[in-house]
Amino acid sequence: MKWKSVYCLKLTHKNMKKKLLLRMKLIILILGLCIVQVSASTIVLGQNINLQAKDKSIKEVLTSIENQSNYRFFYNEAYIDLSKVVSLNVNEKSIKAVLDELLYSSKVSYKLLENNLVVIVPISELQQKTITGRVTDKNGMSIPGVSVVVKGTSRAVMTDTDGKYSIVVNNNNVVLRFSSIGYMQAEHSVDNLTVINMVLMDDVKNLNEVVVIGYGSVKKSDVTTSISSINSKDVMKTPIITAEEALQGNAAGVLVVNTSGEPGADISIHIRGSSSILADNQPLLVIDGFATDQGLSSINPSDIKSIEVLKDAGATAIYGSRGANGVVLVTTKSGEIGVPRVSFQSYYGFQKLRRKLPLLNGRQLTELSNDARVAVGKAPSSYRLDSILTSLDWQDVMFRIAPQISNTVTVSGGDNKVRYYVSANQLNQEGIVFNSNFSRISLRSNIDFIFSPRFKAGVNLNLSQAIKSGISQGDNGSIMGALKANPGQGAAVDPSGAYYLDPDTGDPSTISPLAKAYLTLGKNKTNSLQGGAYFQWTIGSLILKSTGTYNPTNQLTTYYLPNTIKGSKVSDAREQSTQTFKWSNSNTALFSKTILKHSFTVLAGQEMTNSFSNFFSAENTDFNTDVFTFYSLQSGNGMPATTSSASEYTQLSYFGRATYNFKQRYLLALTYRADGSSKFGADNKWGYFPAASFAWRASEEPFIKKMGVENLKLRMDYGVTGSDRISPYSSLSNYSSTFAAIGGVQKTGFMINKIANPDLKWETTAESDFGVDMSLLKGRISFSVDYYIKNTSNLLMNKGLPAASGYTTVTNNIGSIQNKGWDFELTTNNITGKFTWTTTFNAGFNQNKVTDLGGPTQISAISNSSSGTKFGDVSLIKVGAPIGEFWGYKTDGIFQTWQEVNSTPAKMEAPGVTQPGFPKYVDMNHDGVLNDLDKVPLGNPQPKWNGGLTNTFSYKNFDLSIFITWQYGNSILNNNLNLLEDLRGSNNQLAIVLDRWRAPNPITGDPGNPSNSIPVAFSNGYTAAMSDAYIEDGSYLRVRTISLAYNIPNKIIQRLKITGIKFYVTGTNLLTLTKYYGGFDPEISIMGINSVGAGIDNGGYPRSKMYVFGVNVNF
Amino acid sequence: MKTLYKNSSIKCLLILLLMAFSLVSCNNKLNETVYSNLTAENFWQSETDALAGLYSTYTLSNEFGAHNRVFFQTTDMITDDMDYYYAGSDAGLKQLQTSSYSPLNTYINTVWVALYKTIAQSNVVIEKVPHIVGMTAVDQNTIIGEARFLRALEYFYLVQLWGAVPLDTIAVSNVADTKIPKSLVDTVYKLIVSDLKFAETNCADNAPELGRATKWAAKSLLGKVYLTMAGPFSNRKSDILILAEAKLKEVINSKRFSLVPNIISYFDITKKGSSEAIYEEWQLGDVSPAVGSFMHRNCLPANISNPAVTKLLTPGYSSWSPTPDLWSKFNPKDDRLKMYYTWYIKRNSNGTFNIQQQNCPYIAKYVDSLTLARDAKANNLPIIRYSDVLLIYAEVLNELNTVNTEDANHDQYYYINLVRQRAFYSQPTGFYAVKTMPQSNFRDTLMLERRLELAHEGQRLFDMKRTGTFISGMNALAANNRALLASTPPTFKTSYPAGSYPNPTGTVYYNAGTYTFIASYFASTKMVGPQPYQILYPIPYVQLQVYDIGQNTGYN
Repeated sequence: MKWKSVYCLKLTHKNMKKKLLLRMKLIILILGLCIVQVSASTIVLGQNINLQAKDKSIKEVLTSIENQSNYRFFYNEAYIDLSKVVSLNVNEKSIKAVLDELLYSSKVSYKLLENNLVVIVPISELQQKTITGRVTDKNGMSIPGVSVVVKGTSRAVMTDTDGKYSIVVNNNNVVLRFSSIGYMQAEHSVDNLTVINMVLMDDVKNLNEVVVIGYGSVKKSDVTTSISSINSKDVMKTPIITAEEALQGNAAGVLVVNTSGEPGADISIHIRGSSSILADNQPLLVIDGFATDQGLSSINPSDIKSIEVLKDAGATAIYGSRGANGVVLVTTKSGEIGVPRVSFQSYYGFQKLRRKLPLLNGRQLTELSNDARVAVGKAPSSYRLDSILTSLDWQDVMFRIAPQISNTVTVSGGDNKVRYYVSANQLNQEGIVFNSNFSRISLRSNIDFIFSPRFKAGVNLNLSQAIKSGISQGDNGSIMGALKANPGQGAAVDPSGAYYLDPDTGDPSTISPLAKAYLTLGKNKTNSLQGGAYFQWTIGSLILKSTGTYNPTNQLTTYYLPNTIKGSKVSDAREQSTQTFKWSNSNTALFSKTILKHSFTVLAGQEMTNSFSNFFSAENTDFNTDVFTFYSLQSGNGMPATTSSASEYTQLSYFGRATYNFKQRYLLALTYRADGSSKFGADNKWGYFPAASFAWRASEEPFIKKMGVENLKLRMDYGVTGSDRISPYSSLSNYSSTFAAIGGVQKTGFMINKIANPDLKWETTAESDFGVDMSLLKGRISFSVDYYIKNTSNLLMNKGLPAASGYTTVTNNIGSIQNKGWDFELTTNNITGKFTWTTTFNAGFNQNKVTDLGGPTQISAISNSSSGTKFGDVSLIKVGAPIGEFWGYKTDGIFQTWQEVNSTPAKMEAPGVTQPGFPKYVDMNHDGVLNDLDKVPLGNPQPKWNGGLTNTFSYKNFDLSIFITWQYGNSILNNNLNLLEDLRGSNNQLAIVLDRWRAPNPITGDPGNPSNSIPVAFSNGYTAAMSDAYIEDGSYLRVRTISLAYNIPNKIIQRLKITGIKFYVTGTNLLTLTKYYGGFDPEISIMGINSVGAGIDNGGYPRSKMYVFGVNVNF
Repeated sequence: MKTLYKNSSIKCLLILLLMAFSLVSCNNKLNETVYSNLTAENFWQSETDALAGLYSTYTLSNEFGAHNRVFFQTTDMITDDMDYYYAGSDAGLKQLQTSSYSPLNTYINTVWVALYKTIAQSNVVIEKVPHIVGMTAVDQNTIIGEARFLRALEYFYLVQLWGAVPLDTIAVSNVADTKIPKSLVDTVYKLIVSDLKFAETNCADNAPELGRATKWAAKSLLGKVYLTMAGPFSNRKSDILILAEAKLKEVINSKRFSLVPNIISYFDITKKGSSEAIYEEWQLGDVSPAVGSFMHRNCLPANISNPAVTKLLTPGYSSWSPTPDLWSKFNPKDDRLKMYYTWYIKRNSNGTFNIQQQNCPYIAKYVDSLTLARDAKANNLPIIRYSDVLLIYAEVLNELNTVNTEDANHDQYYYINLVRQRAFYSQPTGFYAVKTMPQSNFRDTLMLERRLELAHEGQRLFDMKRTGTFISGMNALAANNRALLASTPPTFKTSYPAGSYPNPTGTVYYNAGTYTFIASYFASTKMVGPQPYQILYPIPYVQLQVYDIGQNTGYN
């Protein structure tokens, strides 16, 4: 039984050229395993030789034969019999005769292969025969990667790129089983055959597809919980930068929002709503079994084999404390048996601004400016109407057409000893604004070693460098700068090509938006290594697996604001580094057993994770020269500042899962996890997360089967998950350092900072899910529906404390949130045959509601300081309302007459200022004053529902897919209007202000404009107050991707010795239907990924349209 | 085969054992190792720790003072002394300027929080320092005395702004102890007085280090506290006035303090710590924003376009300017007019000059042109200075209506004239307060003198409250403003004297001229006076939300 896994090749030859060739052939031989072409009976070996050997080992004799003949031997050195000492004396005998004599008493024999190659193998293997064949689909196209298994054994091979396979069987009484994802499994008995060609039918039900779940995988038919799967085809259907984007519109109940259009911007993912307030609501990301905190931007999307989204607690509870926001499992590709397969994927795309905002031209702004000044008794503007000759649209200056390029090379292959998948990717996305860019270089190597059917090991490595250069967003950012800039003024560059600082005067105190984007350097460079290794040992029905990961990440953020940007001596340079070292170890034991109609699996495991990070930051200001940028912080004349800190957390877990199924009909799964986290209070470190799920495959019942339903499964589950996404040390008190000006110098002081909370514990989410999976009409229609209720309690929140104690907050477990809703997924094969048309549709409806805040009925979500708005609190966390609901005054049109002004006691502007044309606010409590008590809910930043629709058509070698995503019922707080519709005339405005209120002028005969939506131009400005005037409908429907692909016909490519070439052209964001007017794009969340503060636009980076041309070549 | 399985089972067992072992040994890893923080447990070991704790108390006290604009926004800005040009663009500030604030106003909450943070830190110092081994009782008490001085100062602000407030006197260390009910106004004053009495006994005679409080600071503040406790003009309690008189006299008779000859040198950052300074929030220039004054930028216009002055003067926040009302009260010959204010002149490309922005004078008291760093200026904020002591002493004497027993010449006129004399330094005759005016006239004269002398030092609101003139005074101002705005054109014109302001290439001089306050900016900010209940601020809404101690009357 025990055998050395590696063939030691012993080769000697006079002719080195031949030797090289030979070696290659041998390698192919090994890769193919047992591609024995010639049986012993047909052996020729006719050449005659002379040989004298006394007390020589068989190996030595073989070497002598090689020296005399053209034959080469190869054998496993480990065969004991080859060391046997023999004596021979032959004259002019055929090699065959010599070999027969030589090996007579041993347990090995020989076989002649092509090219005078002789393999020495144990006699037992010679009784085997080799079956070859080709596996094709119903159209006769070969299917690579089909697993061909001798049923009941572990002997397996994969078909090569031509769909061909060759497998050795021990006797005629065995059955071959053919299986591949997407096809129905098929079996064929061997009998007397030596060639078995197999046609696999499409598996429309996909029931045998393997679905990755926590710490394992199951057949789709055995899934008892709510999981959405996204295969590599769907991942790649849009040219995406990071894998998170692949979730958009592809999985029901998953809401994906790009926080802005900036290259490399954060992507917010919410699975079934938001359940946390303090912690972010991002799902746990697990790459090949290893959890990561760093997002997926370091992974090349084309390395991904599948993405599974675990949505309900039944599925996520195995991840316990980290599962409450759902779990996204990313599985990367691994090598498959076969010759090395090389593929090359490349695309080039160009992006352009999707939509320009309609702005005033120079003359219109001057008119508005004059109106605004006259309204406050000032002389008309210094800009004279007749002097406006040109009108520059600063959007034309600020935005450019930007290229995006991606190249990937992968090499994969393997045999039954080693399988490998290696890929390298280089990606560069230029932003549509100068100086914004995202680039990534990544290298992945996934290698699996199969030492024996019982021992397996593997190493996954992903090395990447991602560099993001950003520009400033928000009120003072470059984007807003371009929108605000006066179109009647100047140009962007001077005759020498240098950027004007201020296009008007060259004055450095105000700078052109273009200069700001162009001159400010901000870069974020992340180097990361994700390394993991596993060892797996199978003992009968028991599989033991141990995995370890190491994930060091170094993030370097640099920033430089040059002197040129604001005149002299205000340059500012900063360098920050965050180093994180994370490791984990998990050990699992899986036992599976089937006894008659009962199948059991039991998984038990243990895991430990540790993360240590340290932060360092240094900055200085006031540099004499801009030469150094951030590379010489000591050269500044300012006050250098350094900061450093370190933190660590550890998590320790035990988990288990037991499944039972009876007759493949009744499926039960129980999971349990105990997590200990260092982040919690001394007495509450441990949290316990149980879940149970049950499924009934009703279609397996004869009476349902009779009704013609191929698949009908009813699922229900209940489980508890948690969240520990707070920073380490949250339960401890601490003193913080501060500076004091004492004794004429700066001295360090220490002061109380945080109060301890030893009771701090896990946030817990209890979720119930009811689901139905069904497929009808021979798989033409398949759909699933889920209904869920998620109650999150013990919310981790900074609870307010009476400030009179000296502390304002404590991290605490209070309050609760409910999410409930429906998920729908539907796939239909509308037309099959030569022309196929497939539709997949998914939609998620979620209702989010804060049900308790542990006392207060509302707390501020986003206030003045953090949102960049000038309104004070703009959104609330309020009992009975969704998280982050917008909040402010209701407006009631415009004051039309003095009579109306005078009869309204509650006015926003000071008495005497308000006049006709001013906005009218509603005094909700009729107390005669407008204050916070008059504010009302204004809109929900979370959509009522969102979804995706993909239509795929294919005819002959053409594939066309159209992918549509949408979001409905969400509101956007459009803070852009605060500047672009302020009607002061001091910066450019949206074109809608042309419809502003105007008083009739009896002198000029102007009848005025009794607008009831846009107030009068007023250069002193209106009081900035959060109101419904800033709320816009954020619903949209977007044709996210249209992609047309052409596969070069097989006849042509076979001549080129290439296995496949695909050309494609893709357009993204070509069409967007939305009412959102005052900002570039309704898909925006300038405040980042937190649910608190979602849906705010404030000079955000616009999304682009993109056209991509790509080619994929497989060699 | 059999031996192999046996082998496997042994290995299997070994692995399981290893797993189990690794778990057992890991369990204690759930205890957190703290790398970059101190805790109550590992601090308070030595005199260094005691001082570090005290230093941070001083830093915290700056948060309602030299380090946070909110000090002026919630005190001077709601009086007839100061306006904020951009208040309209910030709802919370606008509410303060127009007496329309509600309990939800975040600025009011910021003040509440800042004051109690200082108090909580001083409580910790007061509780922990006595237990530090290796310090003498004298050293301990000096530190505790200063902590109690700062605690008294903050409670004095609290009780004047809110009336009855929670009295936090212990070092709170667990969540259960954070709920503290309101105490009566008298109880709060009792603590203030006892703290200051401890401080005047135990604080050092001379500050051990620049920026630390002395016993004289404690005595001066105690004098002012007594005067405030004595009640408004309409009902002053003479028994408490006597206490004030004694305490202030102690300070004056010590002869440790005197007025600097020229008021501008008091605010000269090269002459800080003069004989007139009693207690100031000490600031350092060019060190770091943490220990520098923020006030400089609040006194500058937002856009100074002349590149020559950008280094020093850009960008300001254009925050504060005197009200037209305050401006009109200055005698044109008053030296303080020139010293307290300046104009910033833009040199146009055609060689002419323009006054910047809102056509208003800018406050020059806190402009530091010597320090390079924009946000780390060296201007101290005076909390109590000698001219303040002289003026409240004059007020006490006028209220007691008695002659000074030690020297009949040293009456209220004597002390007020010391201050006026210096204000008219360049024309030293003829601007004295005339003796023998009725008590009520002297009150008006004194209040005006305090207003002019201590303009923009955060005193006006408390002067008005102490004397009971806040509501009536502010409503009178509102009536004036309404009249002013109704006039045609609604502007307020006046002239400005020749002056100068510094810039790196030398001083910029400008000639006298006229300028216009634009009434719609400035007067309109105070068109409506406060309601009587607005004598106190509302308890911040968020505070009531977490623990309902009861709202002040009039607010809902």
